[in-house]
Amino acid sequence: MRTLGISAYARGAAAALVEDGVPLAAAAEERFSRRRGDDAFPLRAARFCLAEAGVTARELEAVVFHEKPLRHFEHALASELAAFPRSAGRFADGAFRWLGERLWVKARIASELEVDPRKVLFVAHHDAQAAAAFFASPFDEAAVVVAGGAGEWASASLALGSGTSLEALAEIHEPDSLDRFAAGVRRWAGLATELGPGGLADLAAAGEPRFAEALREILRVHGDGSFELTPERARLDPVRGLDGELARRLGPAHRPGTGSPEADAARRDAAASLHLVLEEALLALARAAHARTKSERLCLNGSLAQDPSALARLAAEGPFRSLFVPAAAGEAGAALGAALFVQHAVHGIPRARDAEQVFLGEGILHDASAAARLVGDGEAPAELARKLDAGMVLGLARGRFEWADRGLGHRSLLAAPGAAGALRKVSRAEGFRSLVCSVPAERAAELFELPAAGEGLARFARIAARPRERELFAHAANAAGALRVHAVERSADPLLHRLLVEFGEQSGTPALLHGSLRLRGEPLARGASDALGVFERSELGALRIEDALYERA
Amino acid sequence: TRALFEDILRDEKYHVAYTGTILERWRRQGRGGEVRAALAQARGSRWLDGWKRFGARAGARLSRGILRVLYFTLLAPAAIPARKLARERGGWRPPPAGRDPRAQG
Repeated sequence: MRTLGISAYARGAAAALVEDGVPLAAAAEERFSRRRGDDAFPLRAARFCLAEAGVTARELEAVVFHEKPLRHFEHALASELAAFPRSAGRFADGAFRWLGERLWVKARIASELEVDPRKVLFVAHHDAQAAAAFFASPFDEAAVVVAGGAGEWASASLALGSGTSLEALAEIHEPDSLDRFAAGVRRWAGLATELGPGGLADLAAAGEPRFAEALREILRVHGDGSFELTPERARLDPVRGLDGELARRLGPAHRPGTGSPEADAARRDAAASLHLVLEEALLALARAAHARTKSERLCLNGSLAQDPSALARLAAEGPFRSLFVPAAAGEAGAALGAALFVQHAVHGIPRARDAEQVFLGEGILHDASAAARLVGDGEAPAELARKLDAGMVLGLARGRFEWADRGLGHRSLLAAPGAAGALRKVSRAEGFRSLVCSVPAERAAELFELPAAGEGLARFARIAARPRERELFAHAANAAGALRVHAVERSADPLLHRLLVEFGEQSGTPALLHGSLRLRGEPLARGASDALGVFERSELGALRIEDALYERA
Repeated sequence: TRALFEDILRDEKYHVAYTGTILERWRRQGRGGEVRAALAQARGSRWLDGWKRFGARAGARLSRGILRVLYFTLLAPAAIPARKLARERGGWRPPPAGRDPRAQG
């Protein structure tokens, strides 16, 4: 059975194709349109998936959309009307988009992809997110928590996954929403929306949570794991409702600063306070999931699943022995989740052994130019390790790109731990941000203070941890001394694993700092031309595209 | 960036000059009618594209205006139950009953 999953109209439109439980292709639309966070209908991504699988749309058994549009429209309408009459402008803009496009998504899918409209299906957004987490995990049975996400009414949900079934247990509905709470506090603190969950965590590490008590009065977390926004104004107005309450309790709102937020104590402390309260909410959700399911394993998805520090705390203090977060945690991942939900939960198709795949994107077509030197996979690890040991920042572009929001070895930047400054210069990462550190999986616990429950999270760089050798990584860590750990299995990526081992033999520590092959503000590199563009417009020392090595003169 | 734009401008000037040369050659070959028709179509399509863009923007503005009117008239009474719903304290709720993937709602 072939199923194409689609997510659109939320940050990170994407398409994913699954055949008999095995993901064959998946990509975010931004990789093709080159617009970061592109949320338009993912026609290019869908066409790529079909071409990669060698099928036409007519041969699909189903095309699945990642939400129930009518229910979502109902929620959107009710939210705007609750803020009457202040929401007139927002209502007009939103209704224009809904009535003009979003409500007719079935017809659009049918006409753009030339499929029978009867094949177009719809999965509730939280079901899609839960499926993206559970069915891609190595667990036969697990609790599933989805925290955050822009779907129908649910803002958080609990489920129990077992085999091919995914039983929804409970939901918390809007306006009680962690995302709404976080957005309000960010706006008050003048924190840029571009600062994702990981960036917020890094900034929080540099601050003091002196506003936490006041924020706990606004977002009240109950003993049963549920939470609520207490101020009535915040419940009535989805966008501006918290502004007055925050100003009353914490003081006047801060303007978005032009400098780095790290330089502003108030914004650092706001980030720290917000982060602490969100961590507490996540722990409470996890405990509720454990109480209801009695499972030892947890699969997590949604906006909070993208926060490596929160996940580290969950692994250390939470009730679960094993955790899993998919590589593409977030809205784009719902495309794959929708397809997996229909295949497993609806049709009972057995789960594939290794559904936890990440290199599902487009491969590279590249004829090496005369400017390149050919270096095959055999000799590459030793040669690249020498360059890295000499302080060079290296770009890697090979094979199919990642189904993730960051490079995991196929569209990546690499640097030695001592070259953190050089890597930050290339990637234009702010000084307060923690960098990702790749290590051989079998050495991860030796090099980093990883809680046992969190070891699985290191596979996709989803957990923050302190290195045991603090000095070596001092310039790559955040203010709390933590980096994000990426544990590389030999079977998952033999070349990167060999490079790490080779680098360890040359330098003494088998660890490399790992960035994403892109310039700030741009999507990850798609193919050779994007990779060369990064090389030309940055201070990269060398770039390897498949076997071709480009070096600066 | 300035150098890039200068490169692009140089390329465009070349394209214009080259196209002009081809059209002149066709005129001398007695294909003047074709050349005039092609130029008229090119000029006309610019006007048509501009008209379409104006139409799309005007349509969007008009639609938004109508939606605002609907908001304050037809939908205003629905604000009362919407506010009542938003004020309700929820906590945990059971998941929605129907999970039929054929349903859009």
